[in-house]
Amino acid sequence: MTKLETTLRGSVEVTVHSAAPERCLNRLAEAEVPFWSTSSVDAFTIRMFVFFRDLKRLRHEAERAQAEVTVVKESPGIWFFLTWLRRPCLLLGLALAIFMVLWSPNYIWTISVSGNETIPTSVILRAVDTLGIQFGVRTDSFQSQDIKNRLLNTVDGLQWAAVNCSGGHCQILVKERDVAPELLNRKMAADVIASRDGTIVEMSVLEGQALCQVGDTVTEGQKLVSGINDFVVNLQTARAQAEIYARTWRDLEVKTPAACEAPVEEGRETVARYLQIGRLRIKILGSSSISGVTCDKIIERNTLTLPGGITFPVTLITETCRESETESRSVTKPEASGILQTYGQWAVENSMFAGEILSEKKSITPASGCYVLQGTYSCEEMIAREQEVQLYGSE
Amino acid sequence: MGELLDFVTSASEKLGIPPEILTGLPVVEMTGDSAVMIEQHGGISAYSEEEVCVKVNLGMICVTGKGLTIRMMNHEKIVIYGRLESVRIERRVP
Repeated sequence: MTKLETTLRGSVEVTVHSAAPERCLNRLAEAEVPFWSTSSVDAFTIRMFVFFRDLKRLRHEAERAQAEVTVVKESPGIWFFLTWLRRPCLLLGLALAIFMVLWSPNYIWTISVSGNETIPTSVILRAVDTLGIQFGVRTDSFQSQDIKNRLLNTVDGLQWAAVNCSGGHCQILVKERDVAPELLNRKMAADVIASRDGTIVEMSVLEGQALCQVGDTVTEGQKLVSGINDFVVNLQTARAQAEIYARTWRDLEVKTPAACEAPVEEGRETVARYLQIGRLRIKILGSSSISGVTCDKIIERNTLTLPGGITFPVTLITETCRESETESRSVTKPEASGILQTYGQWAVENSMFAGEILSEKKSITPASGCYVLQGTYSCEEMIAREQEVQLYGSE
Repeated sequence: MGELLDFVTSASEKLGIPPEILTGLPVVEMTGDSAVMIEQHGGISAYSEEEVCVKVNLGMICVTGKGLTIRMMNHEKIVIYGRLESVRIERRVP
């Protein structure tokens, strides 16, 4: 037996123990079971090699010769691969790996967009989808240059685009068109007036003639910086610019109802699971529909993502529908206080152009069917507002 | 039996046929003192590292030596490796 033959066909080293081991050898020879490199261990035991596939026949012949066979070492050779048939998951994984390496790079499995800042990614993805770049299409089914040109015509605001496909991944690089900054019309004359009553705490005049100073109390609509500079001999117009912060006070009244609708108990719950592969949505189990009752529908999406952050278009969607009964219940004062304070603070902060709340005084009182928050907020805010000067008016 | 064997042997020589074909006599080939091949055997009757006895129609062929191993064996031939010292024919007693 050549070494190559034994390596490929596989061999088994066995010991045969018998009162007359020669009988076993004779039986093997008669049965045409090839064996080689036989050596004597002791008077009753011999060691030999047989082909891997002949082990079963060896055992059979040895049993007929009243000998006992012990396997010392197995080298399955190519028969090792047959043991894989007993491991379908391993075979499946191997097939998948071969598929991924050889076949999948010719198709698009993931699409990513980069370079966009104001244009939503979804808009670009929808555009390329209509142009033919979709999950599962062959990479040679479109021309990148053609897609690029059509994409620039489809999506407004793009200055430049590129489509790169590599290894099953399609990357769409875009550059948005730069918007020209708004030019300041310096020919227009404008004053800066106060938008609210307050006491000036900080002042920074960039253009124009200041008509007030820090510490002055001003009223709403009062001119703070003039756009007309009086140089005695002539008047010079300008577009006044200033940042003026003042201490202001804001009164606020907020109401919330004293009763609300709240869920009281959870009824039956139905769960449905779907597997979405690209555009294909496969229902795995369950039904998420409940008809005729009010219910909450919770949708949970788990996307297949590799540790490196690469996302595949495979998503497990879990839809849970839960019946909910509601009833009217009264709102306690602490609950109402929390709601009103949060909303009051949010409303004051959003009504300011820039600034912050320094202190607040508030009271919450129950009224007819509601809670009322009455508060006074002391703020420091920007009160400067631009107002155009009518140079050629009716005067 | 012996006379019949002698007759067949002489006949095959006259006919130009190798005598082992007609008589079933064993063919023993030695390679130096390291290997011996025996064809037309009838199985092993004794086996140890010092002596291997192979049954043939004449009787028995005993190979003695040191570290004897059966390199290959099937129903036609047997190959014995090792440091050979002697090959002895033990004729069957009529």
